[in-house]
Amino acid sequence: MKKNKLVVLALLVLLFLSAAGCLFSFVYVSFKDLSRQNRLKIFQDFKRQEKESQVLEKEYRDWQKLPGALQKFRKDNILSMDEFAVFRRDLDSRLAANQLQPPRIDFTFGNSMDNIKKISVKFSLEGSYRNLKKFIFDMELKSKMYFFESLELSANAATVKGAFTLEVYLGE
Amino acid sequence: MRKIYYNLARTRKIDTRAFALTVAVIFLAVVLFNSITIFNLARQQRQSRDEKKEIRFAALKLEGLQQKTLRQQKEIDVWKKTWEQKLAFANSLIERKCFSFIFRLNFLEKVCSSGIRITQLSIVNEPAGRMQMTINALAQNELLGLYKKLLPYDLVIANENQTAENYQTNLSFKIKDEKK
Repeated sequence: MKKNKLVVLALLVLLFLSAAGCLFSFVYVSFKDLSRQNRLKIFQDFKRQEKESQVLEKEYRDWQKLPGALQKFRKDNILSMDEFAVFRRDLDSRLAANQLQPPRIDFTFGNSMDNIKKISVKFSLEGSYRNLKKFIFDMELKSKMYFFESLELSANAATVKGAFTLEVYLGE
Repeated sequence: MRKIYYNLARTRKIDTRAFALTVAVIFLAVVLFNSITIFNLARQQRQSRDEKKEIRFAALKLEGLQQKTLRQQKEIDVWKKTWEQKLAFANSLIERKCFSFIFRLNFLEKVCSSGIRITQLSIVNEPAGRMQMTINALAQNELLGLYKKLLPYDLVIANENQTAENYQTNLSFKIKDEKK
């Protein structure tokens, strides 16, 4: 009887210890889960930094391409000194095509910036509104880097007078 | 005749079946608790091991990333010094090239009714530039109709006067290029 009691007692102690161990394992796992949240924060920080780095990488690649892109922009859009004559012919032909004849054309060479020289071209025209508008339209269509800086139109009885300032950029 | 049994044992007789059942139940409970404990701890350990591995990998990657970022930032700063001014100049040229006089003339044709005549018009190629014009209107309601249409464009009205034949006024307003 005594032996049996001892056995039961031993088993009960074991049961108590096991139950305590089990409870402890749950507490331990919960505690670890809590500290896991902190580790997850580290991962989130890492992800954030990774995203920032991707943005910077994109900016880096853009800057890397910039010299080439500027070179291409210059080649495609800025008139060379040799092409200035082409521009002059083009301007004359656009004027003639729209039945416009400027009494005079003034060219003013300005300062250079990044080896690009600015030329102001001033002229006045008189004609129908339709022709003047068509001339403006034709000039705006051109891809080369010249554009109207300003225009002033005033209406006469049957015609429109216009004072035009055109900016032309020439690569040196 | 009824038999009489005497129990001469010093202690109580044990019910073997009940005892065995109790022991078995307690034993099973012990096994169950221990199994749960082992399962919990093993799972936790596996998770923790995996995470440690990931953290080590992430830390290595992060270090490389930080070095790369630092190097790239330095190079970008150097490029900025060299190219920023040229880039700004190119962008300003592109912006001015995109300024459309035709768009503005079309806009005026659309908003001016047949009773309105523009006698003078000035347009300057500047992002914040204002269009200025002098107009003659045959009737006041035509003039007011035009004002209404131009109100969203920062309209400024100056020198409005009335003659025997018509109304004359100077207007200025801002209009942005349409997005292409």
